[in-house]
Formats: sequence, C-alpha cells, structure tokens
Amino acid sequence: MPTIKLQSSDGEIFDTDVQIAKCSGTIKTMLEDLGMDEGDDEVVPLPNVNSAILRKVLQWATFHKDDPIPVEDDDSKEKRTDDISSWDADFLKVDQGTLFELILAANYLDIKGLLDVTCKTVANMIKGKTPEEIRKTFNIKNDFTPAEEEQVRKENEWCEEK
Amino acid sequence: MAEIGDDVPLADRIRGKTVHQRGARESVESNSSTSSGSSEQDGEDGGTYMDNSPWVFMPEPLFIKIFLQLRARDVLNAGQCCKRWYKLSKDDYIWRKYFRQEFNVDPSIQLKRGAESWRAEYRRLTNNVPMVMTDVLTFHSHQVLHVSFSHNGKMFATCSKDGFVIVWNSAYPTTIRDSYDMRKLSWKYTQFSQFNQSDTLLLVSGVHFGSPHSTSGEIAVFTVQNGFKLKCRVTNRPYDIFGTWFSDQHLLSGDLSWLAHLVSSSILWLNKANQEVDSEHTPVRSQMYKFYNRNASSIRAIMVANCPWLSDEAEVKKEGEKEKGTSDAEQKSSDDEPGTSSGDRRAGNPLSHYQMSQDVDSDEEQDEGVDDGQDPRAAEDVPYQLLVGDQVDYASPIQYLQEFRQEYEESYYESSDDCLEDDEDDGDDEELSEGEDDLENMCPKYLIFSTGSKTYTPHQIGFKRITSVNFPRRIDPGPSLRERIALRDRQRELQNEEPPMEPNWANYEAVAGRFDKVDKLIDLHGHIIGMGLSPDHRYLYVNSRPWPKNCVIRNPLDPPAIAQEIDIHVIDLMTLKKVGKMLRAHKAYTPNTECFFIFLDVCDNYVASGAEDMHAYLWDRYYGVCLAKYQHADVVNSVAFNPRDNEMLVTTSDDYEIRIWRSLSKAKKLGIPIVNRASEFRKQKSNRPPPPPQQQHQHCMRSFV
Repeated sequence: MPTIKLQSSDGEIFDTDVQIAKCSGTIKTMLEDLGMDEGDDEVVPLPNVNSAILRKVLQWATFHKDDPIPVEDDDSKEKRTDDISSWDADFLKVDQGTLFELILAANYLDIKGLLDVTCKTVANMIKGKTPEEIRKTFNIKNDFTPAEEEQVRKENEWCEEK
Repeated sequence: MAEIGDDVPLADRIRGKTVHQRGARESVESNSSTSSGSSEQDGEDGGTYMDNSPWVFMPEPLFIKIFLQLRARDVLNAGQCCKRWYKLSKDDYIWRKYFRQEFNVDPSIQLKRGAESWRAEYRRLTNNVPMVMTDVLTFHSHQVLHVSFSHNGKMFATCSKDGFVIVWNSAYPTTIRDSYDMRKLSWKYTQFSQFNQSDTLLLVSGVHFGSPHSTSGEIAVFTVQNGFKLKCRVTNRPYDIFGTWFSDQHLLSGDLSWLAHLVSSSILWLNKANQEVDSEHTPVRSQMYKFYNRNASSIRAIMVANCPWLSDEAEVKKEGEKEKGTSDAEQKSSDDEPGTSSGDRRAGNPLSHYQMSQDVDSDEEQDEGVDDGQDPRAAEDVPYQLLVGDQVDYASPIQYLQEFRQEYEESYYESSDDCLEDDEDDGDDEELSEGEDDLENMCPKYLIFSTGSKTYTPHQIGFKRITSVNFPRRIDPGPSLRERIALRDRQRELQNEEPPMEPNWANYEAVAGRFDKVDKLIDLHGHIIGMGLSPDHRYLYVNSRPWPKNCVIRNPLDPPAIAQEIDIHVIDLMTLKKVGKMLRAHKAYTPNTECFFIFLDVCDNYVASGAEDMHAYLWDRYYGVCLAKYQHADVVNSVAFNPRDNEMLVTTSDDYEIRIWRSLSKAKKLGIPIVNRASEFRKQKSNRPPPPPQQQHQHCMRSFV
C-alpha cells in the first residue's frame, strides 16, 4: 500500500497510507500540486500540527477512511448536534486543550468530517448553559466591567430561555 | 475521579473527566502540554495563552461554525462571557443563517431595507410578534363578527350577532368604553365598523330584521368623542356592501335596484355624517356612482384607498371624464328582496355575497358570450389543488413577484405621506366647520369593491378611480308643482299614443351609457371573502377561496364549488397587478351558499387573517412567512392590528370571544404571565402544542344578557 511521510511540527515522521492522508484537503491538494508520487521519499511538512495531535488526527482518519465524501453544508438542512457516532464520542473524550488543537488541526488540514464533529462537541458543551457556566466550562475570564456586563445582559435578554 | 458527584462545578467535572480519560488512553497522554496544563489550573490565573482561555481567541470562522450548530439563546449567552465573544456573537452571518433556517425564509430574499440587521429581524420575529394571549373578552353574548381599530390605536370596536356594537379601550387590561344595542333600531345584528380618520365618529353597519332572506342593511354613525351618540342612519343594500368612510365627515353607502332578470344596478351614495342641516334645500347625500350588475352579481365590500400617485394622471384625464348617468332606472326596481336558497346560516359573519335572484329556473342557460373571454389569466395564476385532511402545512408563505420587495421598501418609506392624514394630531383640523370636508381638494382615491360577472358570488375586484367629487351645496328645487302637473299631462298624452320603450337591460351594450364604468376588474377565479388595505394604501390583500381550475360557469346561480383553503392575493394599487399570492394559506369549510366573510388586516410589518379551522394566522409581510396561529374554539371571523402598535392583535370568533394577543416583549413590560401562547411556526423548535381545550367560558361576566 502506497504511503507518504508526514512530518509534525516537533519533527516526528509519520509513515501514512496515502489514502488516509488524502482525507485532508490540504494534503490532497499539496500532493496534487507538487505532483508527488508514491514511493517518493519526500516528506510533507505540517508545521502547524504537533505529533500528539497528528497522531490523533491520523487515528480518526484511519477509522473514517471509508466514509463517503462529506457534502457541502446545506442551509435548509436542520442542524443537529446529537448525531455524533459513539466511536467519535469516545474518540473525543479528551481534555479541552486537545479538543481545541484538534479543531485547529482539522481546520488547517481541511478535514471536514473531523471539523464538524469537533465543532459539534464544543457546541454541546455550550448548549443550554448560562454565561457563567460557559465561562467556567472554557475557563474564560470575564473581561467586562460590571457596567458593561449589565448592559450586554440587558441587550441579550430578549430571547427567552428554551 | 470517575465518581464525581453532581454538586461539583462543571469545570471541575470536565477536568475530572479529562483526567480519567487520560488515564485510560495511552495515546492522549503526551499531547498538548500547554493548554491541558492551563485547564488544570484555577480560573483566576488560568490561561497561558495571552491572558485568557485559548477558546476566547478561537479563529472567527471556527467560532461561527460552532455557533451555527447552536441556537440563538446559546449564542446570546456566549456573547455575555467576554468581549471577544460578544463581538463574534453579533456576526450577522450567524443570524442570517438562524433567521433563514428557523423561519424557513428563502435564501434569495434579502434583508428588508431599513432593517438594522438579520439579528434585529430575528429578534423582531421572536419578540415583537403578537404571541401571548393577554385578554379574553366575553361580553358579547353571540358570535363576534368583526373588529376594527381607531386610527390612534386607543380603542377598537366589535360587532356581533348579539346586536351590540361595543367600543373598547385598548390599553391593558381592556375595558368597555361604550356600547349600543342596535336591536333597538330593528337591527338583527352588527357586522362591520370603521372609525373615521379623526377618530371622532364610528361607522357601524348591520343587517335589518326582516324576511329571513332580506339583504336589507343599514349604516349608523356614532360620535365617539363626547359621549356615544347616534348621529345618523343610512340605508344600505345589500348589507354586505358594508359601507366605508370616504373622508372624515362623509361616508359611502350602497343601494341596489333590480332592472331585469339577473340584472341589477348598484348605486353608491355619498352621505354627510352630519345630517342636521338648516335648510331642506341643503342636501345630505349625493349619488356618486351607478354600476351595472350582470348575472345576479352585485357590488359589495366597498373600500376607499388614498392614492396620491394618481394625482398626475388625474389632471390629464379629468376632461375626458363623463358626467354620471342620469337615468331614473332605479325606479324599475322590484322592492322585494330576493332570497337565497340556503337555509339557516348559523355560523359567523354574514354571507360574503347574497344570491340576488331567486325566481330563476336553474336550467336556464345564460348568454355564453358574457361569461367567456373574461380574464382567463386568473385561472392560470391560481393552481387549484384539493387537499384533503390535515396533512397540509398551513404555514404556507406569501410568494411575491421579485419586484415586490423592492417596491415594498420604497412604499415603506413613503407611508407617512400627508395624503393619508395619518399623522395629524387628533382634533387638530378644525378649519372646516363640523360636518364639512374639503371634498374638492381631496387626495385622489380608488373606490375598491368586490363584484362578479359570471355568477352571484363575488369573484372579481373592481377599481374605480374617483377623480372629482361633486357634492351639491343646494338641491335644485326643480320645477314647481304646476310645471310638474303640466309635464305629466304631456307625458300621458304621449303614452297614450305609443307605450314607452323599455330599455333592454339585459343587453349591457344597449344601456351602457346610463351607468358608470368600472376602470379595472381583476378576476381572482374564486370566491372573495375578505379584503384589507396596507396602512399606506399601496397594497390590497384579498382572501379568496379558489374555484377549480378551468371550471366553466354555465348558470350564474350555480357557482363552482370552492376550495377548502383560503388563498391570499396581494395587489399593487399602483399598477393594479397581482404582485403576490399565498396559496392554501388557511382553512375554510363552508360551501358557496353559506360562505361568509373572513376578514384580514394588514399592518406595517404583518398580515393576519381569520380562518374556519378555529385559528387566526399571521404572516410577515415582507418575508412572506407564516409566523403564528392563534387558537379559538370556533371560526375566527375577524382580526385587527392596533395601527399604532403592531405588537397587539385582536381576534374575534364564533366562540363569542374576543382575544387579545401581545408580543412577548409587551407582555413582559406589562407584567403579564406568559401562560397562553399562540403556536409558532418555526423550524428547530417543536411547535408548541396548543393549550389544552379550555372550559367553555361561563358568560356570567356578560353585562347585557
């Protein structure tokens, strides 16, 4: 099976099945643009992804390599966040730092399926929470002055709790 | 740490989970030292990324992607977390998506010009649409047929089969201001009301007692400012012509006279509201128009629209205008009111028509020449589909032509045109003595009415441009008695020589010169059951129940079956063309013969209408989408927006009740608990179930039983 070499930001080389690597739109374009062939010993550098995250990404891509190509978002389609597969849910039981970096990596590598599922996971962490709960969840420091906070609260109170 | 209790703060719980996971999974262990380190720390000094959590600095596209998965409330909450998220949460791309998705708005429809943002529009449709039932008024002791607001929004009037007209104060909680039992004046019931422009007078029209099939009605005018006093009474036939204010002190009424079999003439009278005149030679009414009615049709549901854009053309056309027909044809009328075949009409409003002739053999074939070739467009415009059962989505949107939305915006800004006399302060215009109007310098107007040409049910909208109004200052006393006797003697002599020629009334061409011409007819190929003008008088909204496609009417007394769905058509009065339609918008079940009026109302932002499925419906005018339906226990006959407060809607029903609906925002301001809500039409939110069927209200509170 043809493989290529991917290099993480911290220098680790990952021998990867081409088919799996091409889950990433970024890598796929790169391979096509550079005319790289299988068997070339060239290394694809991925300066924005460290080895731990790259390992996770490849783990995800390996599991999902036979998925159908995701279609573009349809506006009329109802958005759901409760359709995360159990494998993905398990896979994403990681600390927030990892989740954050997975989102950035999925975005950088242009892996739509992974980006969707990570964003949904974050969305689920926000859903139904009060501002204070959201701050706690994501460790966000409140940088409003009390007056500003009150103003924003007033401005945003129009939509009822659901 | 897996055994963390429920009382542990969320952040800790997540951290606990994280640690647990990390223990379980080798592969995760070595990753992301920086951020996982930060999450282990306490909130205050957490964050090795700059001075806040890395999530705060998430790239905008990712933030948007995450928030597209959420709902408005979550985004608003997130926006309260920190400054950056606040800024991102106002991204209108997110709100446009929310708006289009939740309200099912076609992506080709742009933001309404003048609207601040998609977020503001989302907010309006969420918070400012009448949605909460704030009052239930049970003082009518019978079906409530109509509601109308004063122009200043301070009061509204209701008409009912109990014979009363009631004027209410609109401020919460609603109270009775005045009422009058029209049965004292031999009225069977009241059916329609309208305040004059200065809100000093109320026109009430109703149905007389009489034979069961009588079409005789009457208009009464009341003062509303200094005591509720009867000011004048005017006959009105057929009753469903309703009558309307022509100007602040003049009203239009109708009369009908029969000319021949299936042929009649509708005369419209301009009446002074103040009929106390000093001299018998001072006229209180003047004939305005006389129209020819064929095939048992007649003019009904008259209304007047101020059309300032007509003024330019009017100058040119004035010369060509013919003087009115002067024939005395109305004397030919048979005074007996023809009846209908239908039996007891139990439900709701008066019929939206009245079959005008009864003495006709049903197999009598009518002149096909009259029927055919009349606006075949209409049939194509209205695809007719019989939908059975309840699987229909009633929340169908208004489909507008493309140009409508641009035009709509323009007219939106012109709506304060002074021709509408809308923004004048009450009682400010005292230049003319009471009961006088400057009729000659009026803004150009259209007279609008429903009529027909093929059958007795109204299926066309007629437009007549009112170019000049001639209200004589003095009645010409005419010839003296002596002169008249001499004249009659001469006529008798002539008559003895040859009998008078009876015109052939059935042949319109032969008698056309005796009648006023209708400028424009729009055929809706269906039964018109309600009409309403937009506040700027630019658009006419019409409720109609379509006929089957390609149906042919052979007998004018046998109109086609009508659909169970009500279509709404939108007509631009500037072009007199249909610019929008909303098919199968809401429901009606009664057949042709018993079909009654279902009134609709139009305000700046919304259109609402009653329906026979025990609900009223509301649509956004610009986006066209149906937003809410309002529950009643029986047919909803009429709806009205407060013209000064689009967040207040009144609905009246055959369940004897008047219900008042206010927006969430208003209800909150008034401190009204949000208990009874209308059903929202919204995606991503399960429609609220209608409130449990209410106990029939004890009408013990009723004041006049």
